[in-house]
Amino acid sequence: MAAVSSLLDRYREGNSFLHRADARIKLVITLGFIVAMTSIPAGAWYGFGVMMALVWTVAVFSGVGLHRIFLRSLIAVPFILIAVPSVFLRPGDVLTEWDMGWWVMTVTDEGLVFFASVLLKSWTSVTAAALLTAVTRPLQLLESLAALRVPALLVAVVSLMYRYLFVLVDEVQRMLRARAARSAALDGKAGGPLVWRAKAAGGMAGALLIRSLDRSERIYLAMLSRGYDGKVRRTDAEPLRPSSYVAVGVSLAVFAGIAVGSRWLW
Amino acid sequence: MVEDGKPNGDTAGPAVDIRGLRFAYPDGREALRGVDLSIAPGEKVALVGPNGAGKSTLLLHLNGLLQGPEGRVNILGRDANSAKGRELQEIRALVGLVFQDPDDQLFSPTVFDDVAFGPIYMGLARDEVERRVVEALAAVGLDGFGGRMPFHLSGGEKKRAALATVLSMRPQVLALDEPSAGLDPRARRGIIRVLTGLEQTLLVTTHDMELVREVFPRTVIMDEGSVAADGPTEHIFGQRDLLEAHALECP
Repeated sequence: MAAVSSLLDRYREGNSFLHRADARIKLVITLGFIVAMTSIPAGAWYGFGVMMALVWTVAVFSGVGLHRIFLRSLIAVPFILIAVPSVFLRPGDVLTEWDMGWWVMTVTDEGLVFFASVLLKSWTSVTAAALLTAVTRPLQLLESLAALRVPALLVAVVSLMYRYLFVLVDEVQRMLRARAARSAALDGKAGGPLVWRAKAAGGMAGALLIRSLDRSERIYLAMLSRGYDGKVRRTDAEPLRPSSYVAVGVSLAVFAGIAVGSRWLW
Repeated sequence: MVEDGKPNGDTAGPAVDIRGLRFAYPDGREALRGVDLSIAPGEKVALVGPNGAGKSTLLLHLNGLLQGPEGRVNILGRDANSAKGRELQEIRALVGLVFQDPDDQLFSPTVFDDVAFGPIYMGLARDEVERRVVEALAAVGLDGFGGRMPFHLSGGEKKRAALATVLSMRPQVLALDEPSAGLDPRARRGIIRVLTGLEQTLLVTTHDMELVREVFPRTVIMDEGSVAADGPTEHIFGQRDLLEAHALECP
């Protein structure tokens, strides 16, 4: 269970104003931040700097720990790597050349600026998202999605997924344990041939799929038993306080200002 | 439609009256071969028998999840075996069905959402829904568990939460599938306490003969898709060869 929790529970207990804030405004503000971040043009370093300063300042107040936020933001790294070739492929002023014998690699000014911009944009956006999930309970995020008029069916699918991911991971762990218990080894002979092991793994995946299908059938019956009629219903959410609208409005205005300013002023 | 604390539906005649019920699964296996069973309102009945006897299949007929080609399943004057649409929804509000695996029963992100699911689909107002959730959780001894995630509950807590998900609908009949299976003695004790305190008509499948002796005055033995024996629990338990013939053990 501990393993599952660390895998799925991004939320850190706390009592900062970020933790207490309405999940809906946190979600909207984060989305606004990411949109603004992505609309800042490449090379607008002041714009990037201000946005990064913003997100990290807020992170300080979250009380979650900058180190933890930083580690979680690294999830952006694989996506940033995709932008690496642009350093060499973008046409522009040549900064340096490496003769590889069969190919001359050229680092261009344009390419470097583009790459650095992508890096800062994606990393900072992911940092904002990591911060959001660290100070907001997943269930509140789900409710916020519903409150923001995301189709109810979609929210229901996500919440079922969230509920049964835990059950599924549990099931996988039980299967792995059962396999490990039977994976005895004689001296120097362990594991069996690769093809055979691949078959065993494939069998497990198949069994898991079939069990999940069976389970989904039973869940559906349990839902029918309690009156489910194919329409997703929820109780209405509490109305937002007027101060929440102000917070959202001010934040979005600031983000828009930075995005516009970095395009035309700096 | 109901006063506080009182289950809905009329109370004249038997709560459950099953006559000549037959059912075969699509693969041709005959699960029910003419079941006859009548249960009076408020009666607590244990349904025992070997695996594959048709006990769980019978429970699925009580609220029309399965409908057989032959027979009647009369629930307080409504036939669950032929009901459609709106009437089926009404029968499902009368019969609380709890599945064996609480992970199937608890499908919502929080315990509150799960217990509120039935009342929400009954079209109740928000404050009434909340009142019923509090009431149902209290009835199973899980006060204050509303915000918890089902995954973080213990086995016994899950079983009780599963029961609360139907109690919040204030059903007249409760059909439970193995409520004490897989529980440690203390959790099992907790479930027994809850079952003993229930006023509803109870039909409970189980292999837990101690549970039967303690909670249920009447026992029905099912085997090979029909009722093999039906009578007062002490009387049934006194017939050792009858129990053995149906792969049961006397506690």
